[in-house]
Amino acid sequence: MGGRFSHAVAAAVGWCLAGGSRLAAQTGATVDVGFAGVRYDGFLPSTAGSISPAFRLERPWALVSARGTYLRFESGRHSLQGNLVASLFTRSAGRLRGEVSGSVGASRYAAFASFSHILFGPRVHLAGERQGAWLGGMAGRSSFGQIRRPVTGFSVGTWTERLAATWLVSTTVTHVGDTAYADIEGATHWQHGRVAFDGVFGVRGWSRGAGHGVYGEASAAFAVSAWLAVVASGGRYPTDPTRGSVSGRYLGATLRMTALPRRSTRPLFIPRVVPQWHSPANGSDPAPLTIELHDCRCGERGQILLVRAGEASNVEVAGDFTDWEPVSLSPGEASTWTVTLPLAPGTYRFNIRIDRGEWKVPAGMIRLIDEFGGAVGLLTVR
Amino acid sequence: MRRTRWIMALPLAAGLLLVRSAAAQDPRLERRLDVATREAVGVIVDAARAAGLPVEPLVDRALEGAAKRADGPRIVAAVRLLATELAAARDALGPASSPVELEAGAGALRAGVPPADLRLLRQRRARPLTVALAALTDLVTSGVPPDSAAAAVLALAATAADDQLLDFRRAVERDIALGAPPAAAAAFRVDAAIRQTPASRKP
Repeated sequence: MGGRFSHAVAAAVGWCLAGGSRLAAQTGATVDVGFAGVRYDGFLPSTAGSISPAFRLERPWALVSARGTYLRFESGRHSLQGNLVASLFTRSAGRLRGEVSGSVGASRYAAFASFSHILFGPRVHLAGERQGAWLGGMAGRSSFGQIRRPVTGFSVGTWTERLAATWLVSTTVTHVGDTAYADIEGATHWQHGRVAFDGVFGVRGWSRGAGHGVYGEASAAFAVSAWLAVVASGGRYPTDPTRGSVSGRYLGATLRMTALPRRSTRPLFIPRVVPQWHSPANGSDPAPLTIELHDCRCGERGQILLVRAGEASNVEVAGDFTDWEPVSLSPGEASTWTVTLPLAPGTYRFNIRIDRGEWKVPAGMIRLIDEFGGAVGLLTVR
Repeated sequence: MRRTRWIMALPLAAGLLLVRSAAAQDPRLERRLDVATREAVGVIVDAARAAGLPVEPLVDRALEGAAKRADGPRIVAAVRLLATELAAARDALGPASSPVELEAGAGALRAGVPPADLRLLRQRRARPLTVALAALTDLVTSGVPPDSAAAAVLALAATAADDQLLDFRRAVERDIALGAPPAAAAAFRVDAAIRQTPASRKP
């Protein structure tokens, strides 16, 4: 259970253990239906619709949480992902309690090979009335198609209830094959009447192959009734090598329908399950900048450059074949832009620019680091 | 004698001055670069021409820097580096290599591909190497270790068409974007590509 999901579930477990027998058994089921603007790092922004059922069962000795998400992008492609977490707890020994947990999940994007993972691990909880801590490890496997990588890691964290909110700080170190990273996170949950707020802020300060940087997400829910809530959420999240999701950012809104309302009168810290917008992405989606070459059959080695650029009011190309003078393309239908150029067979360095912004490399093209602080694409004409 | 030598020297000096000015007076460079940068680039271009290296890639690189608003020293450094790499690529790929092959080879060397692998690629692939070298460079810049990338491309070099090499490169890039380790993605896809190349199909 790498990353944020792990710590969130651990915190929820700790809170449940602290509540002990005073909590009634908890069962909850929700379905979120919504839409969002998403932007995976390296790709153009897109919108997506989603439907995401979730189920949660809590007993004094067990916790089961499951979530599935179906995402449909504006391109028509879709992704499907699901995750199941289950924990069993030992009897208490004073304030200490043990836990054995397992997590399985899978995701699939369009027709590409799917990601899946299976993880197990022990934890030790030190739970008080309003604060607690945990220390745990995990091991398992992450798979991409036939490629399997071992996963190991450990996490340590602490939580407390102060100022009418629950606060959590954790450190998680994860190894997925040759990839390794460490995240330090803080999270909070606050609820007052009909309004609930969840926030996460984290830093990936050490990484080998999983990126660096800060990230954060927040969601605010307003309960219209016992059965219906409106949720607004957004933020930026890091790459998850275990689940195969690339980093990105999103801003969205959902309607949350509660099939099984909670019976407890005490506010329950609901862990933030992997947000539904964390979806596998590939070089062809959601709405990437792409380029195609077509023979114009107009002699003189003419080639039509066709660029798909999403929302743009001006598209230019510059490269070895234009002496690096920007050449404007003409708009066509369905966000396409074209220009006809004489291109002899060969390989050319080039870039595309949208609305006089940065020079970019279209998705799917060979991409090289240039000597000027950016990247350049390689176009091969045969 | 001394006077004769001076007379003989004068036209040679004038000729050198003329040659040095020719590159710097390329109208494309004149329009796009400041005087100092243009002169410095001109010296590099002339030296490359004298060494029998292709000069158009050098001019293109300078123009690319101008288009991307790089400062003069950076443009000169980029052109000088490319000239050095073109020479190294010619050593590895052979003197009969085309200018586009040399430019692609220079890119591969800069990405970290050993010269010995370029020589092997020349030996194994009868077709022009441009696409193979470009695919190899892209694999390395995508994170595939140079030895793994070279092994993958060399495995396909003898039988795969240019289209197949590009498809292979695209598939590896997609797998890496989805989180697969680069070396494993390359190994996985080369197996699939080998099974599809004509030489491995059963009759």
